[in-house]
Amino acid sequence: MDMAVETHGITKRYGRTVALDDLSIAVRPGVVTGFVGPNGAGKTTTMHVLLGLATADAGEALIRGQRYETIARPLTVVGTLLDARAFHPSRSARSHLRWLAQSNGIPPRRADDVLRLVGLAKVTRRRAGAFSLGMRQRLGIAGALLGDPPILILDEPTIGLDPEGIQWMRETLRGLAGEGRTVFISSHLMSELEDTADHLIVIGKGRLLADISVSELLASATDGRVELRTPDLPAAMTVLANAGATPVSSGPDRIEVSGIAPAKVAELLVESRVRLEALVPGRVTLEEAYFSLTRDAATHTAERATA
Amino acid sequence: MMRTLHSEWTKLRTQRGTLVALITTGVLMVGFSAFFASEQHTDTRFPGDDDVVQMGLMGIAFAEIAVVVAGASLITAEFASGMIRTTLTATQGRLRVLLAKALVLSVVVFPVALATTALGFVAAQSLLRGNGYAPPAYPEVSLTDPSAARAVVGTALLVAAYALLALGIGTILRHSGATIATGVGVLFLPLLFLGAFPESFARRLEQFTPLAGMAIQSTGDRMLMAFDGRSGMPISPWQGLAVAFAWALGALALGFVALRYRDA
Repeated sequence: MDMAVETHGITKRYGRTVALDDLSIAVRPGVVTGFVGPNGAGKTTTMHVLLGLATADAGEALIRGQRYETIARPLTVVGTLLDARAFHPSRSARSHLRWLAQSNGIPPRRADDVLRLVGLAKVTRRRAGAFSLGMRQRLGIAGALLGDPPILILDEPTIGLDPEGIQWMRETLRGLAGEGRTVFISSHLMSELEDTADHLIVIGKGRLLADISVSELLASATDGRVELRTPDLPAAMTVLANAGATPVSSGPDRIEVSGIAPAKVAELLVESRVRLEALVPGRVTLEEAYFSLTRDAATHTAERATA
Repeated sequence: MMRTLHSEWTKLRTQRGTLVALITTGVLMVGFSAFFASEQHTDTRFPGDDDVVQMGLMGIAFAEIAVVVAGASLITAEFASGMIRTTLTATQGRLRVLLAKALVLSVVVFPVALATTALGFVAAQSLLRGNGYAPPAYPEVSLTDPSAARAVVGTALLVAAYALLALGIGTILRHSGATIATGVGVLFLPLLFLGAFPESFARRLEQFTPLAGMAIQSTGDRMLMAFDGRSGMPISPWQGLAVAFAWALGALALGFVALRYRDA
């Protein structure tokens, strides 16, 4: 089966700078895929290549197995949000969506529908230039949804949104993926993808660093870490150290221990009659997991470079 | 293509900058044709040697600046905001985008230019008559005279050609200021050089630059009123207009290449 969105070894240079370096990715339908990397990693360039706005020097980018340029009425296949400022400032929100709808033979009624959908029903006649960044993002999303497309490619959709807006975006994107659509969103902030993305494609300096599901990434970063609370800190430390684990005291009555299963921790402490007040598997945020991942990748890259 | 045309039409209708530039084009055409005519008086020493038709069409010298702004803004405003990416992702094929813009621009500019050129011409003729351009030395001219009709319709076509030229330059340069400067430069620099160069070279400028289009206004044996000394047309009226359109098409063709092969 063709992937909804895929690239095969795309390379893109700007002068002597390599923006994309033999990048191959594939995005599946039905889930939200986060496209993550620091600023300048090549996320926007990848999206531009996918949408035929930029030409790759090598490799190919495909939407449902075909090049974007060969899609007739493209808005009905791919909805895009590229730059929240990309409106003519004097044009009203509705006029903007009208011309966009007409360009793909979408009924103009649909413009009002999507404006309602994104919560802009009250400002349809206002100049887009007077919109706040959050409102512009909503208008951008409205444009992306105009053709009811099965695929959405959104560049930094949460940028400039207030917490309420981020929550709204999260629910909207999850809902769209739940309908079986392909949702591909970029972000330079991992924290914004927490609770939104199911799958992550991480790139750095134009190269693929990781292609991993969020649950896998969290599990790998958690690495069997266990947190416990005990009034008997020194005793607990000794018992755990003797058992071959590496306990670290993280507070007057708290210990973080890794390399040992939670059940084993409980068993050891009970056997040694060390009082235990709480025992929880360690939790990491997506951002921590991402940092450990990119740190590894950076080291890996450095090793390769010196080798 | 119909969908793209429909879409570009809506864009033009709702793009304030372009509309203002179009209205300005019309106002300048009428205003300066009339103003110029009101400042002209007959020279009794040479009765009958002035081209009163052309004298009623001088508004183009100012209207062409505004129409360059209108033509340029149609595309450079999209590059300025980044909306061009939305346009290009929404449309299959770059040629379609540029063709639709060129068509929409033409069908708006031409009627505006035709109406205001005719209006300016009629006003100018009545002012000229008051300034001594009267029979018998200067027989009355009306819009329905074949030579006057050709000059008026041709002037409106020339304004459309200059608008298309600006659209083409804007597609190449992608920047409003640079496009307007280049467009106005291409139209006015030859005029500045006419007096500074030997006549043989000046003739070449009149034949091969967008200035050649001005020949369509002439009903006498001189192409430009400003150069009284020389007589004899360097190029025929319709050929001159064709040269102006060739420039517009050339700019649009280069613009298409830039749009097709450069990253947006």
